This record gives sequence, structure tokens and C-alpha cells, in this order.
Amino acid sequence: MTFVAPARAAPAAAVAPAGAPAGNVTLVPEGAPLTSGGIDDALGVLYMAMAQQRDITVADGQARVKSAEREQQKELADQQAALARAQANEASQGRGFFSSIGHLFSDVARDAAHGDLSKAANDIASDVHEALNSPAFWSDLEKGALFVAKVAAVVGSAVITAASFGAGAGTIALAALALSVSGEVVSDTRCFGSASQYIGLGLELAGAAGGFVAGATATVMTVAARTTLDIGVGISAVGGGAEVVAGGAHVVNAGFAANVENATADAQEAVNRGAELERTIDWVIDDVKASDKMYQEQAQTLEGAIQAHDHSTAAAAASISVKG
Amino acid sequence: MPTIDATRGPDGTVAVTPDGTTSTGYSDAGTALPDPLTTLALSGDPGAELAALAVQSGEAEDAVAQEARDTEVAIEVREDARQVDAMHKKAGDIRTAGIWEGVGMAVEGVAGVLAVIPASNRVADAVKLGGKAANGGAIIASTFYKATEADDDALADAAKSASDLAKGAADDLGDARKSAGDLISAALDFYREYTSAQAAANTAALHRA
Repeated sequence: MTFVAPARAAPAAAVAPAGAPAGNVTLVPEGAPLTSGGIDDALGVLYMAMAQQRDITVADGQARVKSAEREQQKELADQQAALARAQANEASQGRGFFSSIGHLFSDVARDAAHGDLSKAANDIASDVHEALNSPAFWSDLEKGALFVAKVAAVVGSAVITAASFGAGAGTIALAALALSVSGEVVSDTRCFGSASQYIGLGLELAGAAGGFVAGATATVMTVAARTTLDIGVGISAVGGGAEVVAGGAHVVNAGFAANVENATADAQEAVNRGAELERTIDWVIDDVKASDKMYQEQAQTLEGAIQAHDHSTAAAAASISVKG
Repeated sequence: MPTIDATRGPDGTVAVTPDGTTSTGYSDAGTALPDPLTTLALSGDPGAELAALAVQSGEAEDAVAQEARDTEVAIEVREDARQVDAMHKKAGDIRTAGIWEGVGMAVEGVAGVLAVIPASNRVADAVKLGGKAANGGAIIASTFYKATEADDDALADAAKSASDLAKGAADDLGDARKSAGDLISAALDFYREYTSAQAAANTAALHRA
């Protein structure tokens, strides 16, 4: 059986490459190689071309898989980086408020003991920087400041109420204090579920309005009542200051929470992309397998055609010689 | 034996594409002659025509499945992007809600501090009340952004669901491509057996002659 005929029967490309001058294009193959080499040569070359095509397909598939795998590694690294970023912004990460202050004092004390003031200055700067970037520090600061603010508000209101008794507006002031405290309790305990925030706010506003009415209806105060009132107002001012700090810390903490969500979104993006790449790799492998299987079948069909042709030719020759 | 279109030339310009299929028609700019499949389909040999038609049908099925799969993949990618966008938007809403709440608290706190200054209790109480009211307004404003956060979550979930659906459809279409490949394989098997039988018959006829 005639098998693969090498390039002898393969003339220059019958199809011009893209961009080639039209004058050089040969649309049909030259007749000589086919007629002189016979049909078996054409079949052999076709067989060889199919084998080459098969190699190209496999090589192309391998290149695509390698490229996708490289990209997948990058996505995996991105995902891990995003998850690390999300974890670093969690409220529990970093040194807490007291831990940061303790660390700062410890460093300063150690440096002072060694008489190294420049290192102390550096330590102060780095410890402050670390604290400012620590979610746990800001979380603790907000919680602590809120606690101070609430206690100060309640105590300040109580003292003002006590002072108001001397001014004849005690009943209203007491009611206002009760409303304010109730508002704080409702907000903290969330005993009314999701509506607690609004109920608490309403009670606090009513308490503040009551305090305003009590102040407005108060008659002339004694010196002692006036002093007590000033103390109450001072405590309330401290509470106000603490609330300012808590508000600022709340903004920073919201920033950390947003960073967590952004990092989670980035991680999700990397996960999605990684999954797409993984499936692309599976599909490329499937395609190469299917393509390879088809090449095998096509090659078998071609082999059958070559064999059938050879048998027919041999039989014809035998028949001619018998008759002759 | 109508097997190969020899006029195509033996130089590797046969219409075998990298994906293992054969090209159809006369679409190639440099190809003036019909491709082997078309030649086979018009050869007049019933077996060859049947095999060629089956292969063409398998190719068409594969092309349709491939196109549909590409569409589903595009949908999946788009929905994944929407999911991530919704998560980023939620992050922005968390930040904005936090700013409103924080500013509200700070304003109330500042009002509490400023209440020390006026000599009149009435003015001091009015300042405090104003601070409380400002905080209340800020809480209401932040509630809007918290509601938007919930919307973002719902949007992200919906996008994830749509993406999963598209992924499932794309996987199913991968199976459809396999079916198309099986059809082509069956056609080639048939043609192989057909040509063998035909060659045997021809040989027998020649011997008899």
C-alpha cells in the first residue's frame, strides 16, 4: 500500500496567503504531481496534512491551557490578597485602645530608660501611626467614647434635675430625665427590635424638649442650685465631647467596614474569574480531546480509502493481465 | 470511489480547521473550488452523500451550540460583574451611612459642649435640643443608605443567581457540542464501513469480470 508521500507531491500553496499579490495566486494545484504521483500520493499528503493539523491543534490547546493556568494563578494571588485586606480591616484586627496606649507607654519608658530620645520619638510616631490604622483601636475608642457620653448625659441630666428642684421646675425636669434615660436604654437594649433606634431617638428628643421646658419654667434659683446646675452642665459638656469623639470614630469605623466590603468584592471578582478560567481550561481540554478523536477517525477513514483504492487498482491490474 | 477532492491540491490546503471540523462552502477568499464535504455531498454516491450531510449537520449543530455557549458565558461574565459592582456599591453606602451617623453624633456632641457657654439655661437647652434634632436628621439620612445597602445585597444575590443559571446553560451546551461531535463520528464510521463494503464489491466484480 502506498502510504504517506512526502513533500514531493506537495507543490507550493495552491491558496495564496492573505495579502499576496493577485498575480501570483494559483487557484488550482499543478496537474503534474497528481498525475505523475497518482491519487495515492494525494491521499498520502492529505493524511500527512491531517497529522500536522492534529499536532497544531494539540499545541494550540496546550498553549491556551498554559496561558489560562498562568492567569488563574494570578487570580488566586489576587483573591488571597483581597481576603488578607478584608481580614486586616475587620474590627477585631490590630491593637485595641488600651493595648495601643500601653504599647506606646512601654516603648517610651524603655527608650527613656536607655536615654535614647530619638528612638523614643520614632517609637511614638510609629505607635501612633499603628494605632490610627488599627480597626480595633477605633472600635474600642468608639465604644468607650459612647459609654462615657451616655453616662455623662445621664449623670449630667440627673444633676441638672436635682438643681431644678430648687427652681420649682423639678417635676418637668424629672420627667425629662426619665425620657432621656428611657431613650438611651431603648437604643442600647434594642428591646423594640428594628424600631428601637427610632423609639429611642424619639424619647431622647422628648427628654431634651422636656428639659428645655423645665429650664424655661424655672424660677429664681438659689446659689447652691445654681452651682449644682453648673456642675450638671459641665458633666453634660464632657458627655458632648465624648460624643464628638465617638462620632469621629464612627466615621473611621464605617470606613474600615467599607474597606472590608470592597475587599470582599475584589475577592469575589477573583473567585468568579478563577472559576471562569478553570472552566475554560476544562473546555479547551475537552475540545482538544474531541478534535483528536475526530482526527483519528478521519485518518482511519482515509486509510480505508487508500486501502480500498489499492485493492481496486490491484484487482483491475490482475483482471487486465488475466484477460490479456 | 468518491473519497477525496483531489483538485484541492495535496499541499495542506484541505479545509481542515484547527478545531477539527471542515470548512463549508466557498467562503475562503483564496479557495475557488468547493470543499471536500460539498463535493462529497454532490458526488451522486448515496452513501457518500448521506455521510456528508450527516457531517454537515453535526458541524452546524456544533456551531450553533458553540455560539449559544459563548452567549451564555457572556451573560455569566456580565452578571458576575454586576454582582461585584453591587458589592462595591454597598461598600460605598456603608461608608456614607457611617459618615451621616458619625456627623450626627458629632453635631449633637458639639451642641452639648456649646450648651455650657450661654448664661441663659433656655438658650443652652435650645442648643442641646438643636443638637438632638440634628442627630435625628442624620440618623434618618443614614437610614436611606442602609436601605440602599439592602437593595445592593438583593441585587448582588439576583446577579449571582442569573450567573449560576447562565453557567448551567453553558455547561449543558457543552454537552450539546459533544452530541454534535458524536454525530460526526457516527457519520465517519458509517462512511468508513460503506467504502470498505463498496471496495469489496468492486473487487469481487472485477474478479468476476
